[in-house]
Amino acid sequence: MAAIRYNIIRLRVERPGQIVRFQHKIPSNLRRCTGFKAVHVRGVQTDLYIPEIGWFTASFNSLKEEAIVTPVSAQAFYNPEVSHEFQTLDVALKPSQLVVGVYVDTMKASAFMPYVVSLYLRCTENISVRTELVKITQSKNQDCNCDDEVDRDEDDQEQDSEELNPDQLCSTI
Amino acid sequence: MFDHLIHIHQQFTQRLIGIELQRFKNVVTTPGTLRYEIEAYNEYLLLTNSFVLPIGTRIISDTNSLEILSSQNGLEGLEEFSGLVAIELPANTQEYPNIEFIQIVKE
Repeated sequence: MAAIRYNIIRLRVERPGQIVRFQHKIPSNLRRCTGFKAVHVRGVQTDLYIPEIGWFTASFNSLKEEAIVTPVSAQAFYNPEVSHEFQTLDVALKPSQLVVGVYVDTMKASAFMPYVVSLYLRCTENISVRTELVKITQSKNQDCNCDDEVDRDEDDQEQDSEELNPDQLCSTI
Repeated sequence: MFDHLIHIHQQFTQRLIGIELQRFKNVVTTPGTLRYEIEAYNEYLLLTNSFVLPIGTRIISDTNSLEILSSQNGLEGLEEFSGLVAIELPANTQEYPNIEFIQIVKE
C-alpha cells in the first residue's frame, strides 16, 4: 500500500528571459514519483490565456534520469481556474537524491512582470516501511518501565496529565 | 585547473551512464547569424570554453539552459546540454567565437 505525498518546487522569475536553476532534495521516505504539474502561481496579469510563459526541465536521482520537459501557461485573470490534472510520471526514486533542473522564461519582454511558478511532484511513500518504523518505535517504548499500575490507580490526576500529553510515553514519577 | 576529461568520466560513472564515444565538437559562429541549433539527442554536449562567449549569449537545450552573465564567463565548470541545443548570440555582439564542446555519446 502506498500513500501519496506532494513536493512543491516554487521559483520566482524577476526579469524577462531569466534562467532560474533549482536543486531540490526529495525526502528519503518517498519511493516513486507518479505525476507532475507545472503551473503559474501568481504575477502574470493577462486578459487572454497564454499557452507558454516559460518551461521547466528537471532530472531525477541526481542527474541519472531526465524526466520532465514541460511548458508553463498563464491563465486569463477572469478565468483563474486551472486544471488539477497531473501529467503522468514514473520514476523510481533513490533515497535522498536530487531533483535538478532549470526554468526558462519565454515571455515577451514588453509584457513582462515578475511572477512565481511552481512544479508539483506527486510521489508515493511506501506505507509498509512507515508501519515498520512505527512498530520498532512501539517495541522500544514497551521496554520502558511503565507497568507501575498501583501508582496509576492511586493517582487519577497523574493519569490525566499523561492523557493530556500524548508525547509523554512513560511516567517518570 | 581541473582536468575536464577526468571530471567527465567521474561524473558519468556516478550517474551510471556508460560512454560510447567522446570527442570534440565545434560550432563556428559567423557575422550575420545570431542563432545556431545543434541536435544532441541521446547524447551530451559539454561546453568547454564559455569564457569566449560574449556577455548575453544564451544556450537553451532540452535539459539545461545557460545565459552568460558578466559574473559567469570566467567560470571553469562544464555546462552540459542535451536534446535540441540552441545557441543565441546577443543582438549587438561584435564577437563571433568558435564554441567548443566535448560531445559524449552514451551507451
